[in-house]
Amino acid sequence: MNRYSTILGIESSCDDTSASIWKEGKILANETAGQPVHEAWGGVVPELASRAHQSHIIPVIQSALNKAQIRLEDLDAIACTQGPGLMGSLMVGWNTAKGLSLALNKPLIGVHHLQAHVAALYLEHEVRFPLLTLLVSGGHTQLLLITKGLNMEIIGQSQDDAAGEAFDKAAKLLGLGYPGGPHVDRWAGSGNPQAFEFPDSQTPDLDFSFSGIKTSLLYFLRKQQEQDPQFMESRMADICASYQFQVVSSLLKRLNKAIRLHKPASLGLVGGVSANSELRRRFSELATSKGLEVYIPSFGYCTDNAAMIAQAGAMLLEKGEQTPLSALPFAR
Amino acid sequence: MKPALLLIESSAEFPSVALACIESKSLIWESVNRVQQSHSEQLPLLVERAVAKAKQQDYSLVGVAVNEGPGSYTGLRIGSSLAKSLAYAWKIPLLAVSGLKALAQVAVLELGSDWSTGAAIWAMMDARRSEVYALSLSFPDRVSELRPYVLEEEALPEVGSRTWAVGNGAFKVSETCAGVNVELTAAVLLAESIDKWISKSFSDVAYFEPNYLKGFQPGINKKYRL
Repeated sequence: MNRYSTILGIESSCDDTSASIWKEGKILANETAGQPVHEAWGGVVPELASRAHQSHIIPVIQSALNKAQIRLEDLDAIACTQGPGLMGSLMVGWNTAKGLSLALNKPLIGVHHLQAHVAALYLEHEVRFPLLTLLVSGGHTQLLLITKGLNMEIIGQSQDDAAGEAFDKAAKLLGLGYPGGPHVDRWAGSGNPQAFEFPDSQTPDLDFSFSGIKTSLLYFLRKQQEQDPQFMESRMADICASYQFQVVSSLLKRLNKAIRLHKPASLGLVGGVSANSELRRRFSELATSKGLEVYIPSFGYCTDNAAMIAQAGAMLLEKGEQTPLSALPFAR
Repeated sequence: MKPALLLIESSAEFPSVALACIESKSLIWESVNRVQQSHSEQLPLLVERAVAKAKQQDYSLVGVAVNEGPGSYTGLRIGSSLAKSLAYAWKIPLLAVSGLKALAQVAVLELGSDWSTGAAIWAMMDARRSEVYALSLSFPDRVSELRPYVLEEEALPEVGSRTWAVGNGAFKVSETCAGVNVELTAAVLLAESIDKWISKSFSDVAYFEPNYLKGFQPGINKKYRL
């Protein structure tokens, strides 16, 4: 039994403002306000993100409390993303959390955003360890080996762009919307993944690289458009399917190698890109072929969300950790 | 318990917090942290000390006032996030105060009998290069629009022989305006905050955003375009 039975989670590391109420291991509310303001720019604009957090954060917290039927006074602790993320965005959530902690006289616990993505796995599953997790989002691509709880080691990561960025940048080139993943995924559904070939990058060990594939798409499109100005329009589905196929192949190639090297008992898939249908399908196929259990959180716990922050906060508080009011947020 | 306001200033170099007694319209306590860029670390600690001080002297906090800006974006974010969450959790009103207007009013007190017909004060905040964010207060009580001035391109309007300047941007007009030495700290917000409290000019605790003074227009990345 946790000493802290009711915890408010706050997440504001990028462009989603989220608040969640965690009570005795259950998520009673997980409310998120997105920021459509970035769509026009094809990516997150940090200054605009920070400003939007400022006007969303209190309403989102109140909405989570209402939904959970919990009063501010009932909270036992405040958990909040301390980093990594966009500094201006973190500042808003982090200082709001400090203000609440101070005003309510309840402990503050700073949460590492990537650890929290792993904590999302514990919201819905009894997990078998060691757990090998692929974290794929707009900001991060990592392979994590988790021995227990939040004890984890990064065994591979992207040397440049994240997988989500590879989708966003492709979507931008193709004139699709932001965020790019869902658009590419939708087009890919009716396309041929073998129509075109995109290269995998040469990276050492278990590391990833996605800046090359995005550039190769740029040159490929330039060349094809020169020959046929209708190329992109007429072959959109095939381009998306082939590109998506290669991004997913790059991810699974390293995952497969990590399974061989580290022999985990189970596999986890977390982060916003886990919504990608091709990745979900082939990830599960790979796990089945290796006889490993698979955990993929519900979509609401995969993207940036405060439920995972509250869960990670609960685990840290249970270990006796607390964060002082003077603690700074960190960008990386 | 006597009612008091918590005053928060985070727009300038040094973060500061003060307590104001509403009945006597006077300062109970103030602390300024003299380490640059220490807002994120120190502002919550200053508030914590203010809360302890208020309790010790039998004051109850009935409102949170914050300098609404303009100023350092990061400073404003920290100050307004803290002020909002405190007001929200304590269920007391939020008072957004124009720091530069408050600064001009405090400078008037410094001028004493010089503050008479024909006198004016520019309160200005240093922005980048030759720019300042400024407003003027002309005798007796006319306030100009708060806006940015690029001094290389545009001189301040209506500057006469009895025009003073105050604030951390005042050095940029030192050739034309004599300076008044008042620093923009939380205590400067006192009179404006109490006026707002009395007139019930409260800000929306949920939706308040600082006055950045400038919209933000992202640049366009030309690198990855067909």
